[in-house]
Amino acid sequence: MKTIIVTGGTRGIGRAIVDMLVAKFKQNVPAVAQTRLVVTYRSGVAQADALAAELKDLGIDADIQQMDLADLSSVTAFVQHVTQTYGKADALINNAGMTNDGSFLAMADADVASLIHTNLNGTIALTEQMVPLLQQAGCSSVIFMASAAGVYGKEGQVPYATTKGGIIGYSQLLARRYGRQRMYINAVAPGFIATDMVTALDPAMFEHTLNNASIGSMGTPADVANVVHSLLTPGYIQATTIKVDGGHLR
Amino acid sequence: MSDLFINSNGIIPQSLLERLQAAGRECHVLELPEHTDGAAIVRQHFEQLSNEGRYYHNIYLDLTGGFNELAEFTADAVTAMQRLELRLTEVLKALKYGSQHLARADGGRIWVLCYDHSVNYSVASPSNPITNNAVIAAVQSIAKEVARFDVSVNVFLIHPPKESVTNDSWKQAKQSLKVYGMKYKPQPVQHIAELLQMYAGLKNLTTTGGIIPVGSGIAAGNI
Ligand SMILES: NC(=O)c1ccc[n+]([C@@H]2O[C@H](COP(=O)([O-])OP(=O)(O)OC[C@H]3O[C@@H](n4cnc5c(N)ncnc54)[C@H](OP(=O)(O)O)[C@@H]3O)[C@@H](O)[C@H]2O)c1
Repeated sequence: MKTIIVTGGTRGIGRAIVDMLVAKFKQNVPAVAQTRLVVTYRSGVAQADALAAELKDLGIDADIQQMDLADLSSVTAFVQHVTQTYGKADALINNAGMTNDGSFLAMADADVASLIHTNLNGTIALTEQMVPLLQQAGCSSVIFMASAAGVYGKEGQVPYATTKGGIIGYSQLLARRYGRQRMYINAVAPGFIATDMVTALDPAMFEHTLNNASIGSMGTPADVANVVHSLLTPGYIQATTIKVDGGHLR
Repeated sequence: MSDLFINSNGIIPQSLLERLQAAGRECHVLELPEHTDGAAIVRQHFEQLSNEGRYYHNIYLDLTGGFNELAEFTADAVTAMQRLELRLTEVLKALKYGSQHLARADGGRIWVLCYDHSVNYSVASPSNPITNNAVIAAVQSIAKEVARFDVSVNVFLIHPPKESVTNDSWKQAKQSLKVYGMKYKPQPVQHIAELLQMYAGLKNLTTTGGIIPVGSGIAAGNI
């Protein structure tokens, strides 16, 4: 039985990743058949309960856990739970993340700190603690949800871009350390994807960016989930960041 | 007009500093403490200068000295994470205070100096992929925000100078990198500093949000 962990999997892109995996279960695709899903959320209990009920109805083995990346003790408790319950992890999909947008010169230190704690340190702490469980699986995948902002920067998102750039760097560092142990480590960098994170924004903040992309419109969570799913199969893609940004023209 | 070095311990900023001073530029140095957030020192320094109506033209933020993430994370990830958080917080604040200072002065330049982290695959040198990628994304982002104040922000992604690596190590790197890229050509620190000085001296700087590779051979900054 394989164990796949999806952080922040109860809504947005994470939810689309879960849906994608479930769809593959139903098709009985070997890579995801015989797989157990461990999905985390931070505070959205209603969405977590809804997902749990849906998966139960489908007869899918799922374990929905609360975990706050910004709280090291919560991260440690989650890893202990996985260790005691499953003893290994075949895939870790580090999707959970947040943003605080605005002019950097006017941004409060606390807003910068919460981004570093959640997106960067929280993700790194979780992954570092998960390494023995990933090694235990013999062959494993680690996927990081970076951002196009972390690849080419973004006005109004200086600290967010910093944390996502840092995550790209961390994926390279992790691959350097564990690439020879059949650990497949990559990052995905979405552009504008229609989730709660962006639909609340004033369109003036992103319309020009969409106009500068080859495709010219926003992506869907499923577009990102497709790429994540393809990275779950071990192959020759390693320490790479795949942009899913509709062909943004820099 | 004068220039500021925020940290200058590495051989590259040292060499650049000497060259700038020899060319008659007034240079100041702020060394930040290693294990605490030194950003308050930076802020106070800029505040004091602004109060006196004095402003810098070039601000160098040196990230080539004092840490090696690959080694640190391999040895003790918890301590490495704490240092990383401290460093990135300090860098972001330095970029913010530096940008505010230069904006008040009708413009100026910020230059961040980093070692190209991927050179470490071939040559024993510090490898800081997290800091580098984070700082590059920060610089690309902030450059867009402060361009309207005539403040430019760029990163030099530098291959380690000849002097910082043993000859054997360079030879091995040349052999192992035959196929894809140019062979490494170890550059004396003086030559690197000369290039950096050339950028600083440009009357009209047309680059901002740039990642300027310094070195030859296959590595992150040259692909
Ligand atoms: N949407 C985009 O355009 C876009 C573009 C580039 C990158 N991304 C990245 O893609 C990932 C998913 O984004 P999304 O748009 O799907 O975001 P979203 O709709 O806001 O969902 C974020 C998910 O992360 C969880 N989360 C937030 N803070 C957390 C914390 N401190 N600890 C643990 N979990 C936390 C949330 O849990 P709760 O529901 O419980 O709050 C939620 O499940 C993020 O890493 C984001 O940075 C998104």
